[in-house]
Amino acid sequence: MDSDETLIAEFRRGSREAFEELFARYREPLCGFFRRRLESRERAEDLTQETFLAVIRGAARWEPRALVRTWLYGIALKLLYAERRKLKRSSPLADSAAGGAPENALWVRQALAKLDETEREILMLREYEQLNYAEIAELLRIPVNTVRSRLFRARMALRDCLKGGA
Amino acid sequence: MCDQEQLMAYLDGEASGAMAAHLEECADCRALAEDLRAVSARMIEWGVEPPSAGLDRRVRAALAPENKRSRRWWPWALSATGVVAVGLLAVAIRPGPRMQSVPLQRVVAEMAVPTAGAPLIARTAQIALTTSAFDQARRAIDDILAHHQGYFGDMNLTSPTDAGRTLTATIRVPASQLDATLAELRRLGRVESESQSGEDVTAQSVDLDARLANARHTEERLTDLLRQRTGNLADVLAVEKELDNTRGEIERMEAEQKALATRVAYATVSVTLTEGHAASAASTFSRLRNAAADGFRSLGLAIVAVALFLLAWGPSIVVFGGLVWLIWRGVRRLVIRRTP
Repeated sequence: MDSDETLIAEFRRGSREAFEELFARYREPLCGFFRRRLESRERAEDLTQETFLAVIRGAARWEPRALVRTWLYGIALKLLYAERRKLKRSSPLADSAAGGAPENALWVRQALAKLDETEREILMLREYEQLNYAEIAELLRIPVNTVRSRLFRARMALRDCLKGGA
Repeated sequence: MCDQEQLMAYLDGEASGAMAAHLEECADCRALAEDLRAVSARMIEWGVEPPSAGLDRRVRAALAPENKRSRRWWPWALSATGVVAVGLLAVAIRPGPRMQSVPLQRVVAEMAVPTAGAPLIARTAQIALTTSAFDQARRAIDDILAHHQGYFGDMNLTSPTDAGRTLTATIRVPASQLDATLAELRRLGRVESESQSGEDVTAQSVDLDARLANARHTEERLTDLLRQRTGNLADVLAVEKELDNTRGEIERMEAEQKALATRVAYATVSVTLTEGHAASAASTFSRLRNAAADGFRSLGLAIVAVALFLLAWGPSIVVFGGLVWLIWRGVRRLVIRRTP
């Protein structure tokens, strides 16, 4: 299987198939990224679309030293921040249940809502987007050690919620 | 004291395997590891529904199948064809009267200018010419514009008495005709200066089209909402107000889109045409003649001004002057009679 970086390089040379493959890999993760952070499903899909449009027009600017995955989530985060500024919402988490087991999802959302915003973002990027510490540090522009300590704190807070609520 | 963060990093695959042995020995760390796994497992229970087929269609449409021949033009070709496809799709799925509005690339295509897939460049040029055959050159510019389907943006002709005439004009010609137009303009006289520039507006147009597509999407949703909601009047009014705002925004963006399309479709050329020294040097007699003509013109204007003054103030002067004269005469007679 080709790496994301190989695909984007092929896409830069004009390969439609490479983009199709990249899209297939990231359509659900990116849509899930926005879906868990926004109330509206439509807006989540709009922003996913905008992320891929940004990839189409910005692929020429992608530099091989950056991972495609980090680059993609970097675009997604920028769009998300812009959307939040527009909505002027303090709580970034979706209000409506988004599939799966509703009561469990509700518990997770409520527990996450209690966390500090950066800790929540770090935890979500780790658990849902499966990014490693270095990628999260690069995206949020904070040191890797800070990512590690805040991730630990967030998980401990969630564990306490879990033990208290279970 | 165990390094709990290190344990978490190990479980996340971010630390070395030395932690495995420690886990075997330390019951506290094993308990913590269980907790951490339980937290992760619990978080994963928050699943989200997969994206709709509409997203796939919209994104795939952004890769219109015409980039085989235009690979050299990548990424412009992808961007431009993508915008066309997304724009067309947005128009196609949207009900209501706004369906007639078209994406930028189509507006440009309708103007029969750049090839679809080419980068969108707003071209401008400047040329300054000197000619002794000024009138002939002036007429030739009209012919050049007619020939290349161009038009005058604005034009200014100055004719000072002590120098040659100067024509400054902004002309707009189809972008594809710019080179031919400049070639013909150069033949009108001696080229004093010439420059060309191009502003790449592809990214601007892609952004604009994406924003427009989103606004239309919002409008569609609000329209649906308005159709479905029949209850609270305040809610209905709020939705209507939002719909009005969105439509205003769409209209503003459509106007911006058309303006951008026009800038791309028509190149702007600033032409300065100056009458040459030969023409002005031979005009000593003309200057004398012009001075005489100006003198007569000034005299005529002065006569007219006096006539206007008399007509405007004459009646008042006659009446008040007569009164003053009568008073003066009466006073004078009185003085004479009393004089011994």
